[in-house]
Amino acid sequence: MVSPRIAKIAFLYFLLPFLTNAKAKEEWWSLSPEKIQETEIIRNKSAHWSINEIDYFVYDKLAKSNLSPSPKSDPRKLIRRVYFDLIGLPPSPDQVEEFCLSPSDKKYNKIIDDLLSSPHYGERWGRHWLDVARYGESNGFEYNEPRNNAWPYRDWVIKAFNGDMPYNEFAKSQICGDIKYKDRGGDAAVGFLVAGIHNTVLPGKEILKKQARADELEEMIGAVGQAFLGMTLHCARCHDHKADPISTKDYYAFAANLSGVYHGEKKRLKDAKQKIFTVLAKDPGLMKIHLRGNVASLGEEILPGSIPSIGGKENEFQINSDSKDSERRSKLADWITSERNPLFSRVAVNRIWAWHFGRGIVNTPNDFGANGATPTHPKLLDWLAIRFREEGHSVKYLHRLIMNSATYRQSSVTRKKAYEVDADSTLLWRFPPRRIDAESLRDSILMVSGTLNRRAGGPGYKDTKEEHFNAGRYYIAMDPVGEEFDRRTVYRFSPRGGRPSILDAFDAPSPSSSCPQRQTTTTPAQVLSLTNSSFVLRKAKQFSERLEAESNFIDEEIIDRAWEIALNRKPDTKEKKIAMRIIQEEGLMVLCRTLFNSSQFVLIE
Amino acid sequence: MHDLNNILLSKRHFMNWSMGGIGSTALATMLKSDLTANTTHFYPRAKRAINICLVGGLSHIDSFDYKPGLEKFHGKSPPDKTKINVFFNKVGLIRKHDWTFRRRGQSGLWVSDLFPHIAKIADELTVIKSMHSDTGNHTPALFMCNSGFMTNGFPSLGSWLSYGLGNESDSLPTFVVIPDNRGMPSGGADSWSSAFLPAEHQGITLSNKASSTIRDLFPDENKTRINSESSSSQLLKYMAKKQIDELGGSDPILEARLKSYELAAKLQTAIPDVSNIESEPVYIKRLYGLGQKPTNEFARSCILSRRLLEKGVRFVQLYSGGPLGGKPRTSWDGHELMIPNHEREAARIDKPVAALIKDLKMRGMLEDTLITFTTEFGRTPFTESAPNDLGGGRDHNNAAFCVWAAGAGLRPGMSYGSTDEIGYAVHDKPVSWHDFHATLLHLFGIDHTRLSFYHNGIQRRLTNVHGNVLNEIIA
Repeated sequence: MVSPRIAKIAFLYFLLPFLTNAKAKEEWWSLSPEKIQETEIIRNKSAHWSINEIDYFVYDKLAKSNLSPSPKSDPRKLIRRVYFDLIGLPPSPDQVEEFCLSPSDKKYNKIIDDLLSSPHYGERWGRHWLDVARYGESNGFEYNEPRNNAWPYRDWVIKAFNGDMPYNEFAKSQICGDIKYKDRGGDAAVGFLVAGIHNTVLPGKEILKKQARADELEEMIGAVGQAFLGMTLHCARCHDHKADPISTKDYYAFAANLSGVYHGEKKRLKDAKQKIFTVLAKDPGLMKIHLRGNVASLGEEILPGSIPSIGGKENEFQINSDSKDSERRSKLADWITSERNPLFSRVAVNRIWAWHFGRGIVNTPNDFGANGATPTHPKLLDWLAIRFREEGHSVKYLHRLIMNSATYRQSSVTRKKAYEVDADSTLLWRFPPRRIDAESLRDSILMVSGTLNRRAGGPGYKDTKEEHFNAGRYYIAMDPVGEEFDRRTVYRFSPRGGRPSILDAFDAPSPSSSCPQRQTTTTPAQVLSLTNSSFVLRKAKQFSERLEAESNFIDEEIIDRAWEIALNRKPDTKEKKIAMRIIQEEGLMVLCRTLFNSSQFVLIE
Repeated sequence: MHDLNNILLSKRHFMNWSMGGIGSTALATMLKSDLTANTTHFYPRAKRAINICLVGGLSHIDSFDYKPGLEKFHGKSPPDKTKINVFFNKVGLIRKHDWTFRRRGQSGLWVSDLFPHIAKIADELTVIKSMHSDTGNHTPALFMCNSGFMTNGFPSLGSWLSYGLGNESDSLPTFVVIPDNRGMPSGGADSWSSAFLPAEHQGITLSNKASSTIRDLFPDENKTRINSESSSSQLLKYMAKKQIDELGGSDPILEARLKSYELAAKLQTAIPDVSNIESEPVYIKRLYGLGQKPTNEFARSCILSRRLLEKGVRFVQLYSGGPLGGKPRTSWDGHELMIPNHEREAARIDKPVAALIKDLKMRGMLEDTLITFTTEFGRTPFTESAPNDLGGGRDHNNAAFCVWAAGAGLRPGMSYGSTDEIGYAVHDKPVSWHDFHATLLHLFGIDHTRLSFYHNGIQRRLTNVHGNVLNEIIA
C-alpha cells in the first residue's frame, strides 16, 4: 500500500500541478484576453435608472437576482461621500450648501473636476497605492534603521496621481524608472522595489548570506507580482505554484530580472548634497534554479524572461546570462505593461473600483489566480479594462466614469428584501456605507478643528521617538505638539514600529506586507483612542475654540456650526437639546469630542 | 474570500472584547450564543495558555538537555567543522556544561542547577529536546517562534488563538503581552501583531510596572471614566440610533460601535482590578518572590498573568529578556561568557515560573491551562572563539534546542526527542516550530490545517504548509 505521505506528495507535486495548470492555462478567466461584445453592453440600456455603461452591467446582474437598484442618494450625503472618496476630507459647510441648493449634474461634475485637480486628491489616492507598495520608512527586523530619505517615493506617487500619469507609465517607472525616466523622478519611482522590509543583520557564513539574499528577492518578486499582475508569483520559489500556471522555472526567470536590485541610498539628481533611498543596481550574476528553494542545491541556469501563461513567450526577452540589470528590468517592465498581458489593466481597474466602493469586482485585488475570488461582474471588469486602455490608462478618466454612474450615486439605505439576498451589497443594489479609514479620520479631525496644516511633500513629520538599545532600534509612539505634526497623515514618517493609537486602532495596515484592501474592525481600543488620547483631547479643545471664535460665543449658534462643520448638516431638535446640556454639564470641549466619536463622523454613506 | 473569513469569525465571536470583521448577518447570533465548545474541531484540553518566551537563546545543553558527551570531548575540536553553520562563524573548542545536571523528582527528568526551583517541579514538565529552527538570526528566529514565519507580517500564536476561539471575557482582551521591564524584544510589537488578521486579534501590551495599564485607558491622572449615563453618552447613542434608522433599521458597523463603548467602559474597571497585585495574600507573594530581588519583576508578571487568565483572558505572553546586546547583555544571549549571563537571567525567572505552575496546580487550573517555555534557538556545544580556544561563551544554535510545556492535556514528567552526542544537532524525532504550534492548537481543540485566513492569494495558516501533531506527548 502507498503511504499517505507519498500519496500526498504525488498529488501535490505531480497530479495537482497537472490538473490546475491544464485547467488554468486554457480556462482561467483572468489569463485570457478581455472580450466583450457591443451587444452585451447595450442589452440593458433601456433601464430608466442607468446613466452610463457601468449601470447597464450592474443592472443586468441585479435583475438576474430579482433585485433593483436604489434611488439617488440625498445630495448632502452624496457630496460628503464624494469629498471623502476623492480627497479624504469633509467638505466645508459652504461647499455643501452651494451644492444642495440645486444639486444638478453640472454642479456634481464640476465638484468632481475640482476635487480631481486639488492637490489633496493625490494625497488620498497616493495613500491607497502606498498600501499596495508596502511602503514603510525603516528596514524592519532587529536593526530597523530609519529610511530618512525614502520619502521622495511617497511624493512621487502623490505627484503621479495628481498629474494623472498614465498607469502604464506609472507601473514602468516603478520597475525601471531609474533607467528609463531618470530625469522624471525615476530614482524616486523605483523606491517601490525596495519599499519592503530588509534584514541588515547578516550572518558570517557565505551560504547563509546567499539564503538571506534569496529571501530578499522573494519579497521583491512578491511585491511586483501582486501589485501589477495580481499574481502570487513568490509561491513558486520552492515548487511549481499549487494553484496557478506558474512554474519554478518561471519564478527564477522572473527573479533573474530583479537580481541586480539592491536596497540602498544614492545622491539625488537635482541636489547632489541630498540622498535618496532607492535601487542600487549591481551585477545581476547568473541565475540558477534553487531546488526546493534551497540555495545550496542549484539546478539548471535560467535566463531572464517573462511568464508564458501571463501573455509572455518562451525566451521572449532574448537576453543573455551576462546581460545588465538595466536591460533586464526594462524588458520586464515592457512585458508587464504590454497589451498582451491580460492581467495588467484588469488588476488596475479593479483596484480603482475597490477604492471607490470598498470592495473590488474581484474581491481579492492582489490575487487574480485560482485561489482568489472570481469577479462579481466579469463583463464590467473587462469593459472597464478595455476603456481604461483606450483612454491611455488615465486614472482620472476612470474616476469620472465611475462617479458619474447611477451605481455610484445610489443611496446607502437598506431595503429589507435586498439585504436578505445580498447583505454585503456585492451586487451593488445600494452604495455600501463604510467606516472611514484611519488617515481620513485623523485628517478630518485636524480639518474640523481648524488646525490642518496643508503643507505638502518633503520629509515626513516624526511622531515617534527612536530608542536605541545596543544595535537594536525601536520606534516609540509619541504625541508631539505643533503645526508640523498637524500635516496630513500621508506625510507621517512611517517606520516599522510604534504608531499613534488612532492608526493602530482604526486598521491602518502594517507596512510589512502589501495591503490590497483595508479591514474594518470595531474595537474598544478605538473608543479609548477617540475618547482619551491626548491627540483627540487637544483637537477637541481646538475645535471648541474655533467654534467660539466663529459663533460669537452664543451656544445656539455654536451648536449649529459644530454640526455643519463636523457632519455637514444641521442638528435636529433633540440633538440641540442634549448638546445644550452637554455644554452646561460637561463643557463645549466634551461636545466636540462627542462629535468626533459620533457615528456620522466615522461612517460615510 | 473575505466573506468566508467573516463567516468564520462571526461563528466564533459572541461576547467580544472587539467586534471586528463581523459579517453583516452575524450580530444577532454573536450576541446570544456560546459557541466555543461547538466550534473547536475536537475536544479541547486547554482553555487558556501562558507562554514564557526567552529572548536571545537559552542554552539547552546547560539546562534541560544533559550531554555526558560534552564532558568526554571537553577541550577538543568539534568533529567535521565544514558542516557547521553558526551565525558568527567562529568555531572554538567543545565546552562542557557549566551547571551540574541531576535527575529530578519521580520522573527522573534531567534538569541542571541553572534552574533549581523549576527542577523541583520537573514532574510537571514535558520537555522537547529535539527542537530545530530555520534560522539562527535573532529577530527572524523570534518571529519563527511566535508566528511560524521568519519575517514581519505574520500573526502570532496568540492572534491565531484569538481568531480561532474568540474571547471568554467581556471586559478584557483575548491576548495580552507583558514585555520585559528592560525593554521590547527585537522586532518590537511586530512579534505580537495580528498582521493580516483583523486588528481585534492583536496582542495588547500591558506593562508590568507598578500601575499596569494599557494605552489610552484613561484621559488623565484622575482616571476619568466613560460614564454611560452622561449627556455626551446619550448623544452618541441617540445619533447612532438615528443613523441606523435612516439606513433602514440595521447597520452592523454602527451596532458594533455602540457595543464597543460599553466594552470600553468595562475595560476601564477591569484593568485596574486585575493589576492590583497588592491584594494577593502574603504567602502567594512569597511563593513567587514578589518584593524580593532579583525575582520581583518577573514575579509580578507571573502573578498578573494568572490573574488575567482567571478573568477569562485566553493567552498571555511573558517576555524574559529585553533588547539584544548590551553590557551586560539584557537577554539570554551568552556570546561572551555563559555563566554570568545565564545565571543572571535564570535568577530573575526561576522561582516565579516554578511558583506559577505550583499556584495554578493548587487552584486546579493546571488541568486546562497550558504553560509553554520557549526560546529563539539553543547554543553551540563549542565556544564562540578562535578555532583552538576554549572560550566562555556560546554562539546561536538553531540546529538543536529545548523547549518545555506543562499542564493541559500533556504527559507530564517526560522528555521527547534527542540530540547527538554533544547536542549540536537533532538526533531523533526532530520537532519544528510548525510541529510545536500544531500540537498546541491541537490541545486547544483546533486542527491546525483547518484554522486559516485568506490573505494575498493564500489561505494562510499558523503552520504554513507543515506541522505534525506530537501525539506522543499528549496524555
